[in-house]
Amino acid sequence: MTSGMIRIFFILFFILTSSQSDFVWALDSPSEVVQKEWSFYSIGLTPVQAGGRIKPLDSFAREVVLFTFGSRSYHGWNAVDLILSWIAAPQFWNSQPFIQVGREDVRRQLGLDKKRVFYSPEELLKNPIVVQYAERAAGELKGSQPPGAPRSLPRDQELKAVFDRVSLFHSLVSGQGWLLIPKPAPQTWLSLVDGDPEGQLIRSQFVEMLKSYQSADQQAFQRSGFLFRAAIEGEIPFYREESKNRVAAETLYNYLRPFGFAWVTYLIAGFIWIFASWKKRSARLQARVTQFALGFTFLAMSAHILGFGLRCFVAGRPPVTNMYESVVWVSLGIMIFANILYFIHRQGIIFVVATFLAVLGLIVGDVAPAVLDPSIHPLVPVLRSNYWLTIHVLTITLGYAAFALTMGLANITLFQFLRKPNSEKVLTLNQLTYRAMQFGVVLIAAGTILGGIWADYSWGRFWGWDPKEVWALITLLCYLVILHGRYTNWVGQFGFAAWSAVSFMSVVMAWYGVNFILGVGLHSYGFATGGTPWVMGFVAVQLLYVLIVTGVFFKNKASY
Amino acid sequence: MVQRRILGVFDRLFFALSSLKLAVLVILSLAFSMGTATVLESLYDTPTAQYWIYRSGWFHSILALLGVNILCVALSRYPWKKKHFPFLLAHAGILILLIGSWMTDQWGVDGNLRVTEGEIGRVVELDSASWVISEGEQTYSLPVRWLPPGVAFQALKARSLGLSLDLQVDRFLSHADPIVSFIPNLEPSVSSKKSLPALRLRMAGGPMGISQEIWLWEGAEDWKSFQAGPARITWGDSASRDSNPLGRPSVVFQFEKGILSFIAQSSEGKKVRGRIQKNQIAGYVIHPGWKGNVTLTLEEWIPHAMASTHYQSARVQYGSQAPTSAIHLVGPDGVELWLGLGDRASLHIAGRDVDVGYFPKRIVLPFGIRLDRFTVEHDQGTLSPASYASRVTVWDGKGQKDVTISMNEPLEMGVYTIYQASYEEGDPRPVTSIFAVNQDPGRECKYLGSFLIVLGSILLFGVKYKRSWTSRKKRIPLSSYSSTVSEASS
Repeated sequence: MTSGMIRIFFILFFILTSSQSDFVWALDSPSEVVQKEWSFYSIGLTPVQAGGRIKPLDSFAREVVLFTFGSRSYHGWNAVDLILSWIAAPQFWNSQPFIQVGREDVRRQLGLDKKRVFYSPEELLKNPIVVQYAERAAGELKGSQPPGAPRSLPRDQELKAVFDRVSLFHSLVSGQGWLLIPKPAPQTWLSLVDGDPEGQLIRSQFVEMLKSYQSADQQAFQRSGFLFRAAIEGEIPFYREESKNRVAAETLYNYLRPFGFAWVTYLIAGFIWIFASWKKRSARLQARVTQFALGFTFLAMSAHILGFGLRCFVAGRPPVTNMYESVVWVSLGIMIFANILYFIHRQGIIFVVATFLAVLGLIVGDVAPAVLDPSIHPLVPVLRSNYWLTIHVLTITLGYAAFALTMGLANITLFQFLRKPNSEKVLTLNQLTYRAMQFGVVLIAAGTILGGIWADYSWGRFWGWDPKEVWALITLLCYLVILHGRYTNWVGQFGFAAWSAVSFMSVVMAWYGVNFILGVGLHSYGFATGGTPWVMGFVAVQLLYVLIVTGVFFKNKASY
Repeated sequence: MVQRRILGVFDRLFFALSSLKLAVLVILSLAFSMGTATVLESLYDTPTAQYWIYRSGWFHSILALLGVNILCVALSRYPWKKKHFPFLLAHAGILILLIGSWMTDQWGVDGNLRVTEGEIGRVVELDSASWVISEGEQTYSLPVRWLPPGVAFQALKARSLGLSLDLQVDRFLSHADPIVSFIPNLEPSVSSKKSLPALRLRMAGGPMGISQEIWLWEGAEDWKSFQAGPARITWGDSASRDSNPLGRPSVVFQFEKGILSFIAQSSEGKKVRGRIQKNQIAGYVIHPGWKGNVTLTLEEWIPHAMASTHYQSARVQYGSQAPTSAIHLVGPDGVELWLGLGDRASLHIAGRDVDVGYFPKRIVLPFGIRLDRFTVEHDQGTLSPASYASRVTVWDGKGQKDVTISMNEPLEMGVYTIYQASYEEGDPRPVTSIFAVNQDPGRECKYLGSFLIVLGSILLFGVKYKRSWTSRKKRIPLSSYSSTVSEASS
């Protein structure tokens, strides 16, 4: 909140005095604004303090770009290049439309063009509503937020975000937003413009680097960038080799984008699996195709696991604490179960389903970073127990993965029921679905119970009817209904497939709905908004599909 | 013959209770009611969802039916064979878990303990509230069940406790806003030597055209001044009279020797003064010269006043912002009063002195906890807490020990466990720690049940996996899983 406050005071100052936002150590002349075709890898390794932890400048810059522009990259610019360019040519950027105003109702409220998404800082600061909002926000931040304050509406959140984007730009341009001068934790690092005698070396190195950036002298830039990084690293108290390695690993992770590679490879593998299970060929050819498909699957999984491992190392904990991380982990879980089932049953269809589900999961994480925040954040106190976090959350999300596979297989089964309802294939598919469901039932039961034990251990409550735990239990019950219903004459082969697909809706509710739609309860560290229309769309399509298939199936049955 | 027919009915009942269809129906209705509860909780709040579903009789009945169903299913497989083992484990686990939860519900303690640095805490406040009546040495208490807004309240009578008093609680507000007014204090010497006057006035007009009742009272700092937008109305003494900053509209009242005097000031600095005789106060109108032609009408003057609180249904009825509950008492001879949660009052009824109170239920711990120091650590460069911990000293009968209680690191003291739950913000640093105190007689049962469920279901699926895999050639994949049941029930 402090940094937010500083930003707001700064912007108020800016608005009221309407001064130019030149960088304090005025550079000789505004540089020509061109995208540099240099390597920013080395400078990206510079440790900075942001969002409650030390992270590489590269991550910081990427988060800034994602937040202001709303997507991973601004017209192909390297993120570090872009924010250096902001500071080197503030007047130019001040009039460039790169700030996202995400919601149509917010645009209408601000009296902006309904269709246009991007606006320049200048345009937004001329807007009386934004200015009014800034004044009100500054007033509110002075007093502390009351506990349990009602959740703000998505529209208000976006309005606040628009304002935060403008002030972020201005704080970076003024030097206020660069927390570069180390202080011992947990203190806030000093910014470039804090009038302290400390950090003279860092400041001068920064100016050196910026000058070489401005004069487009690549060699000098790399050299001064290295010295700048060394100056900061030298001043961080207790900066050990391990912390350095983490920063390096995070930068590597940013550049590699392992999950991006993984989903593309999964997609290729998926198509090969479709080809492999299309029809029977000669045994030799079939074996070749299968080998080929397996090869791509393993390649994708390697990238997936590598990315997951890197993220574990960087965050120092299993990365399963927000929606993005859990989507990545669940996709991996789907692949793990697919492997187990494949090597028992040797059915290519398992991988067809699994790879496409994994692609879906990873694509959502990769394409919609504004909804599923990919940046690494510190945890709230109650989650800081690696032991419990690992066993409870990993178990329960693995259960989700097994149920996702169940759902995928069940949908294929339903499709098969349309084609040949009495074929052997239907029975085989149902059997596979049943296998996947078994994994899910055991894991979701164990995970829910482990959650109870953790809650008992840290809050003294084994079971508190908290919505997240209640929905985990509802999920379990939904699948138990299927398992027990099969022993009665209520659920036959078709019913089994249909209910297996429909029951996944309870997982959607437990996984997404509780945090994004209900938004109450003790698992409040996971609340967020966004993506609701997409998830609702998925649920609607799934239900509609089952309804149509059911209708057709019973019509065919009647006509026999 | 007769005996056989009874047995037949019993058999049929047993058959129905041990049927799988019943199990499916029970599971479905549980899932459906819990889903509804989470939606209720999202729309309203947790207590509402608990009242209507989680703590309702019918929900408990479904859970009980589930227990009976499981028991009957397990018994129906008797005599048990080796292959029944996993099935029995998992279902016995559920049964034991249900029993454990019931024990917690019946005999468990779950409350909050609030301790400030340097103080010793031993009184734990529970979630439920009770109406307490004490007369002389005797104290009686009657639980007041929380009801959500809109649910009819059944009167609680003191006579039900065996007291020969016609006192009863006739109204209950689940969320109540206190409304304070002032009444003449008939025994001023009891509460205070000095007379504490109160003045009621009405502010009307202004840019918004509002009309508002305002009380000023000399008895407490909070009541000595009133802020109405930019304007300030104050009960002053001679010292503060002229120290009012310029540019702020204000009125300062003062009472001396039977005369009420005032100085009103507008934002332009123009002053209006007046002196009013005691008996002419009611109805006197002041024109302070504020924007929008505001008038202040003096309505009531009480030379010796005391505060009287009554409650009305709160503006905020749901969520964490909603205030706590209040009860309304009526007795003989027109006695009636409101008690908010935590309030107490002394009554004089039919020649008897009775104390009444409305308190959260409390338990006193057999040991004391002194908070020595509370610490919060933050994520670097932010105000978001990374961890918090309380260093405490604990006394029991035998001696004392120093321990640190933190998130995920509770302290066990006999049957009680003390958890770091939360803290209160403070300036410059928080010094009040909030612990959750918990006693759970069902804990062992729940852990055992959980273990059995997980072990049983792993075995259940593991065994079936092996069996069905070997019998896959039979071309009836699904029926093979039901072999356990069909064999067992035959």
